[in-house]
Amino acid sequence: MKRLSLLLIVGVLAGLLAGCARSDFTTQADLPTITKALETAGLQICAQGDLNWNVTAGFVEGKYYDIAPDCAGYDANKPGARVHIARFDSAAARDAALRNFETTYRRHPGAGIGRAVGPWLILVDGNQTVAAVAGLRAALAQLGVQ
Amino acid sequence: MSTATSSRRILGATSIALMTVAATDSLRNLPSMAVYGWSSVAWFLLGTFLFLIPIALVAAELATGWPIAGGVYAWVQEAFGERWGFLAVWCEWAQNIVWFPSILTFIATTIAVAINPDLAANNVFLVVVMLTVFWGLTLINLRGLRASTILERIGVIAGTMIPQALLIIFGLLWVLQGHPSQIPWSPGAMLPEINLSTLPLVATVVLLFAGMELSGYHALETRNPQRDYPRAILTAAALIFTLSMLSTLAIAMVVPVQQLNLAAGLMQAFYAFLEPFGLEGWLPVLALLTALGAMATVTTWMIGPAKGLGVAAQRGNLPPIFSRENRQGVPAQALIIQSSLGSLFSLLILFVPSINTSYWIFSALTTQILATMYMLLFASALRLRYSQPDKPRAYRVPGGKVGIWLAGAAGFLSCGFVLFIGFVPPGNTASGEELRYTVTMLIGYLLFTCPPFIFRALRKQNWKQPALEHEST
Repeated sequence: MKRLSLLLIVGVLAGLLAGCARSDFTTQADLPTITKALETAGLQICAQGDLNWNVTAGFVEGKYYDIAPDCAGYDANKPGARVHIARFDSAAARDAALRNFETTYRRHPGAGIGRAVGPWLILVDGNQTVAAVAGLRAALAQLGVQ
Repeated sequence: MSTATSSRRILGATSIALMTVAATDSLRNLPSMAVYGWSSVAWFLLGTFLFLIPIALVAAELATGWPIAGGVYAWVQEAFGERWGFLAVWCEWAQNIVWFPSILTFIATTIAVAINPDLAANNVFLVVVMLTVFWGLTLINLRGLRASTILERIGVIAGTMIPQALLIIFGLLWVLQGHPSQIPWSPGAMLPEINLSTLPLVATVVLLFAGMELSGYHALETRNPQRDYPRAILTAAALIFTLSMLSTLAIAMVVPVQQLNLAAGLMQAFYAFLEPFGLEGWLPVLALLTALGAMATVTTWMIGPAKGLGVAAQRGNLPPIFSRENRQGVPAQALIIQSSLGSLFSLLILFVPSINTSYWIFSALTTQILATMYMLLFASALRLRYSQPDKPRAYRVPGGKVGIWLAGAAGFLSCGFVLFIGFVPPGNTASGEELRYTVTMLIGYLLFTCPPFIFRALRKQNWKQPALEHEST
């Protein structure tokens, strides 16, 4: 009976944790679609720039955006949220980068946001305001990202 | 004390201090803390006051009052009995199994940068390096504390402290040469942004300094615990805080913020740091040193909890296989079981997509399990002040009862917060998924923490070993 209970618990946990693989690499996505989703969700882009991750495996291109519901009073030290959007040349490279982001050291899943959309990664780290995170959540939902 | 025992007493204050720095200090979190700019100082201070200082003080008192085999297990067992002592050491040992893949992946991807950065996305390369390193370190630990201490000393000095010192020196040079800082200073910039979205960071910074207690597992190998522990642990705490905070600030000042992201990796941040000085050619060397530093960390975390579990097994909590020691006094089977499970987990994470996707949740679970162990540790320090007030302690948390309550309560409550926040769905959880997240974490937590109770329910009389060195010490 004890063994059966244990197996049942493990089964339930496995089912809950099974989830699904990262986003299908062939999913169509591009920077304008992603930034449009941010704007549709009520976020403004307060600052932006190119990424140059030249020693990161499989990195192709990318940009960062400082976003907020309102850019008035924008402070580069504390943006509403800083979003990095990076494209990779293979699913393995994309997933390796996401794995680095999530688990390089012990941190709570709420301390950052990391999502894959086709070959792109959408990453948020650092200071975040509640309003900016709510906007991001809406933008991710629009993009069909869980 | 027998000659055999005294010949095993090989650790002095310097070794304990370096072992503690190896367990706790890390380059891995620097880019992620640097993105907070000046406010990273406040976050570090928060972690220092809520956890680093309390754990350093409490560990020093417990280690000098109970310099016996078992470390965390022995201390909690003294305070609350066998069941809770076993739970505490189990938590520290079990969380290792889930945590090893993340640090081994870090080592493998860092080594890849020294050879060819594209290899960092090659799972076959990663798994070969991870398993080679992991089992190599297991073999070194099996050769006894002398061998692992040498690796720890070299690794932490060359692979953690020297790189951090260089970051600080180059950061200073950057400022002195009149270059603009990437993080413009203002008084408001120092204040951390604390809101519902950044609360999880509080949980993260509290356990940034996990590992301060690990040297306690080696009490029987320490020459003079009463004299050496307080010195070593307090020196290590000061070193860890200073090096971590200043090297984080150095990176934040020199590296443009868009280059700072854990997805790009620590080596990308280092490249961006070295480039303005024309030193980017040194990146492979820095990569190898960083990997060496991480290996020292793995070594320290690998052997300590396994030894504690071995002592718990000697007391009859686990089947005798866990307590069997080799000629070097290392609980070889406990170590091998740990490494086997760690290897299995590493393979699952690299090759099973669904496990890969869920790994962040597993990783968060280990934080909660570790927080549980620390809560037991802080509660033990408090309880022992009352249940064994006259027990000689070469070091006591200063300030009498008020002091121990301040340190114990700060540590206990902050770890309680880490445990609690782990069950709260992150702000970015998809709508409708919140309950699933909480239930998953709850079941996972219960699954990880229930084995000690199951083992104790099934224990047999012949599991207990007759001769217990730590009881007679």
